[in-house]
Amino acid sequence: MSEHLYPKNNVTSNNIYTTKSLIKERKKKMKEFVLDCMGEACPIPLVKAQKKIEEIETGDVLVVQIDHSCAMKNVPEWARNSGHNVEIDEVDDGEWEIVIEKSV
Amino acid sequence: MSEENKTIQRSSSRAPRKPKKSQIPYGSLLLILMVVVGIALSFKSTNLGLFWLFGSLFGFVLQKSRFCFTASMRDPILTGGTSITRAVMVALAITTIGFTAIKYGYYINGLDIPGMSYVVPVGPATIIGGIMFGTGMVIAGGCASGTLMRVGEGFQMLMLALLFFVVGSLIGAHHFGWWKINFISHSPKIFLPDYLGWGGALLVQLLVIAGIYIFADKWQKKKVGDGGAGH
Amino acid sequence: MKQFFEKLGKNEYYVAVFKNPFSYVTGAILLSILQIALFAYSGNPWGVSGTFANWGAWIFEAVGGNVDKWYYFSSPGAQATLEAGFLSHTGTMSNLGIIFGALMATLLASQFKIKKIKSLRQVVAAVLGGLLMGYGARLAYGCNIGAFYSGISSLSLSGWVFALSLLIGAFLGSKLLTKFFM
Repeated sequence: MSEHLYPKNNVTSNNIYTTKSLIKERKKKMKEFVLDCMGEACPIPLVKAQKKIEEIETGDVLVVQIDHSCAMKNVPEWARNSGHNVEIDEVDDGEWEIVIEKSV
Repeated sequence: MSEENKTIQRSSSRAPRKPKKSQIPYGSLLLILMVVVGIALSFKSTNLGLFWLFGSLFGFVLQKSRFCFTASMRDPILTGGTSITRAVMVALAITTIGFTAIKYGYYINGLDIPGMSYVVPVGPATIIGGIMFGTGMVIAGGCASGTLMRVGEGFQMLMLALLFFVVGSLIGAHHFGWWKINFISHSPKIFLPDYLGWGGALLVQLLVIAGIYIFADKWQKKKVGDGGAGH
Repeated sequence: MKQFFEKLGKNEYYVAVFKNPFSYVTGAILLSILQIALFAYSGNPWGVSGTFANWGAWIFEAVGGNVDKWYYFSSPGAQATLEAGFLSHTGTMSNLGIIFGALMATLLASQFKIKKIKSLRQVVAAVLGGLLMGYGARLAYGCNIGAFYSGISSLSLSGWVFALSLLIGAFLGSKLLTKFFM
């Protein structure tokens, strides 16, 4: 009856522990990087973000701080087209934080 | 982007925001002032009032859509993005159709075609001017309309660029005579319907615009991706 | 009063039109409508940079200069425009309108912020960029609006040649930007 819960091979207990430790490792490793692009003209925030995302690892988070209205459109657009998770926070009048989670 | 559930985890808590002071009252005040200025100008001449209105609408739309011709040319090169390039193609297509319809209407009624002062000599001066302008707009971070728009947004750097845009224009005007004698007076004005017919010119131009649009779309997909859908 | 503005700012229609940005294509369509309307009304398409030459001339004359002998300002029309002054100049009203229209858009979205100049390289970029644009626009009879947008839409070959040249310039500018102004 409970046969279907366990895989046919005999490495059940190993699987559970391996998965748990993998999750723990990933949570420990997930880093956050902040890119201050306040006062920069087009397209500097986007170019800097593109360079930085190459350097970080999947699962890391890149926060781009901008006060440029163009960047609050073109940075998220690029990030989404590249397959990452993006959120935009408006932190003050004319200031945004673009939170990108590297997903690929 | 409203207060939806934020899913990306951050190690730092999201910066506690100081309560933002709404600028809407100032915007509303400015709107009223702009209407007053428009009416005042109209007393002088309706024409002046309407150009003020058109300018305001252009400025409003440019800012709301973050429309930037500079980006349409620069982004494919620097970042691989072509969404603005494609939007510019849409604008060119619609405006071409509208202008041509109006012009054709005058033409078949035997009247002088309006707007022909914008059919200008094409030659070395065009090319040199274009290269200079293209270089300048990318370095400055804005084209002519983009500079004005960003001055309105509070960019001091673009205010400085505007000042020197004016200076550069004056110097250009000063030298214009030399360019006219040596290059421009030998350059022809080419109005496409004169060579391809009205229908032909319109069709060819729209086809070229469509071609650029499709190419730009493929370019972005190649350089950036399409959100993981095509991987 | 304050409550009224607070409620207004949260209203869904207000947010849709005045708070959120428009898409690029929406902008393209609206700009096209405005261009066509302007053309229908005034007989000429939209232009931006020609006005800057006039501004330069007025400022120059205000500090004692004289442009009357310049070929560029020699036509009767150009002379009349200069004589009438900037308060009678439609191009001036149009350009100022753009500045204030954009300002109003940011204020109504509560997104206005003064962005101060950060570094010397921004100063150099602004000066150099402005000069190049100003001079280049005079040679080509216009800028991204007058020579490119309006030029192409007017079925003038000059618009396309200018567009290609802009692309070359943008390429050069991008190289300079990454090398010196990043």
